[in-house]
Amino acid sequence: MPKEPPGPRVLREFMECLSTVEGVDEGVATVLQELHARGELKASAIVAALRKAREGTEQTRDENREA
Amino acid sequence: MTRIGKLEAVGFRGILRSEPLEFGRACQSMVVYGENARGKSSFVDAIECYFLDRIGHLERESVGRAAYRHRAHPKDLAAWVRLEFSERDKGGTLEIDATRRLTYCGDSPEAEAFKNLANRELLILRHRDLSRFVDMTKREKLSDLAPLLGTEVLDETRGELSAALRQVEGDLDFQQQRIRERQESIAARIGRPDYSDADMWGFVNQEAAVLGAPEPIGQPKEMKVFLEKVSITPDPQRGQRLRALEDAKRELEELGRLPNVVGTAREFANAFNQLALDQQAIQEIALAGVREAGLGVLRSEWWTQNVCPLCDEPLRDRPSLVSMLEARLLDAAEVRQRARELEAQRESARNTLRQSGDALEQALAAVGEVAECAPVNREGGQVLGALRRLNEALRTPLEPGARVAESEIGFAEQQLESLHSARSTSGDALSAAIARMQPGEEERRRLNSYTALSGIAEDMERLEGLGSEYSASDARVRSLRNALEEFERREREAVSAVVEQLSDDVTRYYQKLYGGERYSNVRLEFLPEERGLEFSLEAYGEDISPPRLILSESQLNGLGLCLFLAAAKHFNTDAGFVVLDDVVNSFDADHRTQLAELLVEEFEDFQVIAFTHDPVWFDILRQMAPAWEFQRIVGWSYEQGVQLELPPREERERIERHIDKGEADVAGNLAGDYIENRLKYVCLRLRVPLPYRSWYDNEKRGIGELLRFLVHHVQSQKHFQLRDPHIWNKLNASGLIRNLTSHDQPELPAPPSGADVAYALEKVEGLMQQFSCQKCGKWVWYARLTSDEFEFQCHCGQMQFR
Repeated sequence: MPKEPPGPRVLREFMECLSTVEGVDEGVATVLQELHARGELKASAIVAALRKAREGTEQTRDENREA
Repeated sequence: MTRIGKLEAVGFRGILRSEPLEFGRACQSMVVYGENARGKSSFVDAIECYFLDRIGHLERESVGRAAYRHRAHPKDLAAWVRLEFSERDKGGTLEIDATRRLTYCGDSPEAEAFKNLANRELLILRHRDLSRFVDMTKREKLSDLAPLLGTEVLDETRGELSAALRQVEGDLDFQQQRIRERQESIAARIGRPDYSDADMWGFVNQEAAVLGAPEPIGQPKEMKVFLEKVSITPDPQRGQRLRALEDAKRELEELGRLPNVVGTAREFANAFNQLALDQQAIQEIALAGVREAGLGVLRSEWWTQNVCPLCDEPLRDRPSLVSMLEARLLDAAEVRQRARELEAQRESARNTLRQSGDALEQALAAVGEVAECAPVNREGGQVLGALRRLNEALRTPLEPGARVAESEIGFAEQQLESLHSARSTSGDALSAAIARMQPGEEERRRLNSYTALSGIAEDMERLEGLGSEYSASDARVRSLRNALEEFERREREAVSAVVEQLSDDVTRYYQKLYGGERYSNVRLEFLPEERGLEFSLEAYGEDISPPRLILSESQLNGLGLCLFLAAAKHFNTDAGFVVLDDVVNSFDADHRTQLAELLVEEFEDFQVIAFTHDPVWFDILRQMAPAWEFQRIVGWSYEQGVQLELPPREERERIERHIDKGEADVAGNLAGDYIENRLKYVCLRLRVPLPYRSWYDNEKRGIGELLRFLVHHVQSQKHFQLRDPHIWNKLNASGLIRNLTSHDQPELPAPPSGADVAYALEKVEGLMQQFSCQKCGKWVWYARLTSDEFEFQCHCGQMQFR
């Protein structure tokens, strides 16, 4: 019988395998993994990081269009 | 796993002088018997205080640390608790000085590390806590086990992921709303109640034909290229002017679609200003960040310095500081949630502001060259300034008394109203300018087609942008939702697996306690949908949950005990001991033996330290677990504190020390117990027949009864002679013994003198010597002569008792 409490282990394993979970976009997985690694996995930080990632994508798209 | 080797305390709770509990070289399990109010719980309190720096049941009753010290303990000396363990370097001492400050001093760095690990484990179960868990709601049960399951971190993560998902779903709804608005705009332009692609392209091609499109248009890009090239009139300059006026009209129309900046800003400002007025809440929010950081440092393994990371002061009481920080963070949870929601609102208000500013700048750039739009240009510049000021106001940090200035919102609102008015004026001017150009019938028709197609092209361009934004948001929402589902699946599986293992032990233990009764398959189940835990059992062919529906109070207590034992066995990784304080008190007589058996059989690899006031259970365990240690508490007094039973010689020495110190009353009390125990011993060895009494009443025979039957039994032996034929008279001459054997003792007997006590001890010792052979030095009960008679003799045979 394992003595380790499941909580921290489940979270660690979840973060490790997040990129391979079906239906989870790589960008979203990266955002969650990075925030978790920094100990900043808060809703506001997740949303801000996702919005920033969106703006980044749009900027790239605009640049591509201009080019 | 580490076991307790020795527990010693001085001046702590009911323990005034050192009365150590020693667990033997193998750190054996121990049962401590003592009647009520003899100080058993003082030992349990000592263990709890040593590990947790507090005594929970006193805290719950708001009793301060003053009660940790024995009142008779000298004020200039620290009270202390010392624990030694199976690993010698893990021992340590906890001191409580007169100012009630607790100071822990470990024998080595490993000692404190062990203390900090063990204090997170299940160490102590008290009688009053037995049914506490059973009586909790499902949610409370799960959160009570959360620190052991480690699910707090999962709860927190799930909460944050869910909140993030709700927010991005909100973004998606907003984008969907904007898409719907654009589609409704196209539907209005083509004169249809609802939007459809086919209708739109049908209309586009119909109007494009009016403008002389060479071939059908099927793509937004094709329409854009066509509109850039198409001429409304044969005169290019006139055509350009008409188009510029028409484009400016459309830009003004777009300005009417600016998001509701004032509404979202005002909503945020109201929430902000209300929270900022609550000074205590703001302080809690501000301190929560500091506390969270401090807690993180204190919990880390790398913080080995003995100073507080928050204030740099010497760190005297690390676990207390950690508990205090945890409690404060828990208290501030609600207000912190409000603060988080407020920040999300701030973010949303500032986003709306940014979008409006961008749209306004774009519109102003498009109409800048059109003279008719001068009022819009002027007011638009003012609005941009107002929006910048409002943006600054929305950034106001959350501090006590801070305010998002209503005046800035009011100013922006006023400027937007002026812009609205200017938009109307400019719109009228544009329409008038177009009318002044007096377009002919054909020109008007072409202009109408151009206007309709340009509006649709604008809507389609926006729709395209919104569509790609929506797709990206939708992908993020689906990703986050899938991530959350995966997280919950893993959480469910892991918690269920642990609870199932725990439940197997609970089932087995409960079966041992109450096996053969009507109830079976007692289980603890994880209920993921309800975020809780609950017990269930089978009775009369039905599943019953919660068990209170059917189980008695005693059986519920049994369930609580089974869960504690199973959880301790499952989760304790450092502490190899459990302390049970009077738990048998809750069991009916029929199940005490089963409880003893459960502890002996299932906890062979654990050190069980049980305190009880049940003499029968004490005896049952003595029979069942001869390798365990057994200790009695024989007395408690304010002047002496707890007194443990000692071997006869040490007990006599202790009494003599009290006599020497002039504490005759204390010596008298101890001597009473000592004489009774010596007489019981002689009666037992000589097999003195005594009248039968039921159950534990057999134990409750006073000195008078023991002495009477001993005298009778000794005198009835034909071949035994007392060396001192006057020994009985001498015993009866003792004032102390007379007092203890008298049936008509006064309510307040006069305290014995030191000389009385010393005389009684000497005569009892003299009585013992009557049964010891002078030649071989062995007791007369050394050898039994016959199997069915009470006949004995010493080793050499010179002394016989028959």
